[in-house]
Amino acid sequence: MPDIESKLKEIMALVFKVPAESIHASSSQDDIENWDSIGTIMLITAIEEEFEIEIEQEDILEMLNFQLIQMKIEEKLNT
Amino acid sequence: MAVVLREVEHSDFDQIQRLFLEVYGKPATEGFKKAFFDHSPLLGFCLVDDSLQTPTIVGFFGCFTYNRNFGSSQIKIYNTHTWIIRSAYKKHSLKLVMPYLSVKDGVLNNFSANHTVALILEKLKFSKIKLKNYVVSSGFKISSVFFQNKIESVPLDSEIAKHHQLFGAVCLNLQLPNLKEPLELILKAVDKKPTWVKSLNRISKILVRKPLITKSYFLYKIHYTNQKEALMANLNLLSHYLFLKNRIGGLILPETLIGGLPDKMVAYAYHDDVFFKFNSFNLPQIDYLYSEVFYLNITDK
Repeated sequence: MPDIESKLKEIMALVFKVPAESIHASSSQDDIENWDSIGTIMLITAIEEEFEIEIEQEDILEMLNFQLIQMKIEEKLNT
Repeated sequence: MAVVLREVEHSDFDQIQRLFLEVYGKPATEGFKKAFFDHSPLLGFCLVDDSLQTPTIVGFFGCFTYNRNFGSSQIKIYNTHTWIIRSAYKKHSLKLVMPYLSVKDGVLNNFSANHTVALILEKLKFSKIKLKNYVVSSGFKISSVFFQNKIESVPLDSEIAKHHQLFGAVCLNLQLPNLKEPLELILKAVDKKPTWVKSLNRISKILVRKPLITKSYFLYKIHYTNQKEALMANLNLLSHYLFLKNRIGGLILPETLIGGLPDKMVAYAYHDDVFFKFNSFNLPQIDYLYSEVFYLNITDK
């Protein structure tokens, strides 16, 4: 699902105010400066709206980097 | 930087105090200290950086846990408060709220969320409840000034008043001449000045370039009474008594206590946003007595 990858990059670039091309599979809170708690909440809100899915509280702690977030979205879209 | 999340223990108080100083620039109040040691776990969660030479608490999201009786049933209340973190560890702050989401054996609440915390709690599916407050408009009456002398303060009777007095609330048991039973009140100052104080200060600033009244005569919110009807019937008399005896500049009545006031008795109204996570528990009513945090700091709304 290549569309998810590019959409997610777009969202993260917008939320965290970084260039989309700087985001890669292992991008996480450690290398994205603006990715704090409120950033996480804004990211989740944006993902829920864009992909029309609902992310549970328990999922939030697992969404640690780009790749894991992408996997979570794919999982939600497939259920 | 390796942070570990764990439950707070009583022995963490000194470190939490240092965190208060670092983040707020002032230590926790005596009321907070008392509440911290008076309550049993769950006292909250903290983040510890164990990569430092001495493992140090760098983040704290506190909780006062207590049981409250509703008729014959008892419900555990988790009163969350004070979410603070060293700026260098800001990215980890969400970790502090997540363990609360696993708590299922009671009701979680938060009465002191700032804008950011509110956003997070809403996203985490806490219910946002708007509690309406009425600032009472009680004019000066010479008859009330005279009759307030007949009000007698008697020792506190109920456990609820005794409990809240420990945390800095004004708890009163007043015998009014026209009442059979004493009227119990629990009040707490809020960070709002009465209109008359603002007006006096404005005039004073013009005349002597400084405010006349700065540190006293705040508005006080009535958090509890044992006789709502009697309170309403004697509101003007009580306002005068509380002004003269307790330096209470004016009264605020929450809608949850009174259920609405006639327009002529309202100077203005405002909302407090409070957050609840009910799990499977139904609460018969929601009131400010859930939050002991209200008694800890006058800057709380």
